[in-house]
Amino acid sequence: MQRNRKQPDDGPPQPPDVERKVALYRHQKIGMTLLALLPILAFAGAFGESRKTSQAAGGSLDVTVTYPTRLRYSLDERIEVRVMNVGGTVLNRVRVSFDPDYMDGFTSMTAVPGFTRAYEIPLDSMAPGETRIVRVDVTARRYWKRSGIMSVSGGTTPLRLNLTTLILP
Amino acid sequence: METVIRVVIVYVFIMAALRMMGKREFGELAPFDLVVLLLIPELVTQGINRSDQSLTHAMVAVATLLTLVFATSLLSYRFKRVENVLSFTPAVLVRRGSLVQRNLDHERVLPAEVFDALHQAGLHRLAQVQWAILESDGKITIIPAQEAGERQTEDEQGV
Repeated sequence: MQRNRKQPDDGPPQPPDVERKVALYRHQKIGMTLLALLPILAFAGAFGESRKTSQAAGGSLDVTVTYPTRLRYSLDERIEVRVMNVGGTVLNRVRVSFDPDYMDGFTSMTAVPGFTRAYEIPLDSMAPGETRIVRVDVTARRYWKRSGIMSVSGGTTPLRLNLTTLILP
Repeated sequence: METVIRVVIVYVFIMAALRMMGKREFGELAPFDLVVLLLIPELVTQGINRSDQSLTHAMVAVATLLTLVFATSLLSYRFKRVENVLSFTPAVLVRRGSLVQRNLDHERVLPAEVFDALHQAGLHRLAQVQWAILESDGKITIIPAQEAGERQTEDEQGV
């Protein structure tokens, strides 16, 4: 049923009120659903940063690495490696090294302690029970999946951990 | 994700701020209005983007904004109350040849601006005006006295 709205300020006649129903075209239904899906997915954390902790032990070494598994282009993240000498003897020439294929996905890398050679960080000698922490700050640069091995040598057998990070554009 | 929340906050804030400014601000862009409209994006860019330069972030932000715009449009159409909150009601500035001072004051419209609209409609005296209305888009519509009379007659005759 149509009826005239109240005229504001005794003004000219107003348009009639009609029953309002939302009607969308098919392409609008599909398009807006897809468009609305992006913020919903984002809200659910699908595009957010995520981290993972992996651990490996062998010989006299116990290694734990916490690294980003998903981050977006140009965002800064940190890879943290905790190396512990769980043996009873001093370990000489302990080294943490990263696969260049993996590290090529990042830029602006700074490590504490610093790199000596490409993606290699020497920890020198470690006393029994001693723990060292290596921090590598990286900025995501290359898109999509980056995988590689992080290895820690110094014990009888090098410990290897697989790192995989998805860099969203 | 934080981007979604930031876009929602900025959108609601800007909508509320623009709604409070009144419709007069949208009719014509005075230098002041232009400065405001140019400054708003500059001010909110950092608030939304932070240091995130990723395409993912941009896409999510744009999708959030467009979804909000579309949802606002749907709700505004479907529910009268939402429409009343979001859109402006036209204001009568001249009623049967007389300025409505209260509305001029509320809408911050100078009599000179009403006369500008009169001149553009080919009129030169208030007495020639039946209605001058500040429309919801900020423009002033002039309905001449004679024309309004003719239309009223047509309405009465059911034309």
